[in-house]
Amino acid sequence: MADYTSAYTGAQIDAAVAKANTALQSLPAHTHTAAEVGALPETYTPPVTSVNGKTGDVVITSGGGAGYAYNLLDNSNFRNPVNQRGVSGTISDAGYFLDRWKLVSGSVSIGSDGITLNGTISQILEMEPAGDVTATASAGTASYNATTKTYTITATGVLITWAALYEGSYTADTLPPYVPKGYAAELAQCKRYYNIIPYDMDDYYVNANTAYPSMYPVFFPEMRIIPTVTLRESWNTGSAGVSVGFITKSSLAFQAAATSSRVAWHGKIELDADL
Amino acid sequence: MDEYLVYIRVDDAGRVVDINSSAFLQDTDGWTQIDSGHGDKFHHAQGNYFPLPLFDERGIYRYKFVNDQVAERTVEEMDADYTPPEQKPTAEELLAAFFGGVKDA
Repeated sequence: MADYTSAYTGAQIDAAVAKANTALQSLPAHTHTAAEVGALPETYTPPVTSVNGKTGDVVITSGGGAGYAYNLLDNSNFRNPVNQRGVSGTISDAGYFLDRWKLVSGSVSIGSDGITLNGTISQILEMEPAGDVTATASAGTASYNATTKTYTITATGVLITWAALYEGSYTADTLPPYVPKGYAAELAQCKRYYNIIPYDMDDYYVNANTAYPSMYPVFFPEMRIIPTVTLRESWNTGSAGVSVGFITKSSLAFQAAATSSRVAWHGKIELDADL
Repeated sequence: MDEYLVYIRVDDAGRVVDINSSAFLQDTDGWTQIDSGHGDKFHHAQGNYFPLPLFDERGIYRYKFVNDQVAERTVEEMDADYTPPEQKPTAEELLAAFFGGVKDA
């Protein structure tokens, strides 16, 4: 860098700075407005064109009185349903298929984007709802029978993605948007009615006396009532007579009686407390 | 509301060894219908039809089927089915017997 020699002395520079400071301090105080600096107002209301897809006059209500709409159905999201029975394809045998759902008539096909119903499906509630309810679904005709505590959907070959039975009275204009409860919450609720437990009891030593079977405890989330137990896909070795002894709403004792002291049992314990 | 039939299975001695409902039995061969009705007692008869479990705490069958009727077995009948486990000597008893033998020698 080249050397620079000022045209002013140090004293002259100090005097000029002091003069400039004095001039700045003598200026009057000034506050800029928000508009002068281009700021947005503290409250800003953009124009509303629709609410939940509804236009025009939109009525907002509190639904069942709790401030939100509660869906009384279990396993209502058919895009990600709880399916402990492992059903797939097209089902035409009447009875339970997805957890909590019973095929009443016709057929239902399980798809990744929902169920295609060509008939009637139902869900029986455990408890009678207090007050009014509103039955609805993404498609088809939904209804509720208070006498049998049964929610029903009837459809003719249409895709259904969700079902709902809301506490409270709603019209088409006031129906809340469907909100799934989440898979984990649905699974926990479904296990109150149905549970299937894989069981691998391999190379266990048991009392080699059929008069005194060895007992193995199995614990599970509490069910609605003492469930009906069925052993599925069962095979065993070691001449084991495997059965279920004592059972409560949340546990059972698995009995293995054998004529030899080694036993293996593999299978699934199906616990059914459905309505 | 569906109606369910209740079935039992009985052994040669007339003891009720199993109970279930038409909701779960595909084949009722070897089973005897004893009742029918609505609700959990009939639908889930296996654990809900009888007031007490099918076995007592010793694993002895609690009910019998006599004259087309289910009844609780008497204490005497159930006791007769029970064979107490073989009593094996404890370690202390084995030691005592051993040292008793040594002392006597």
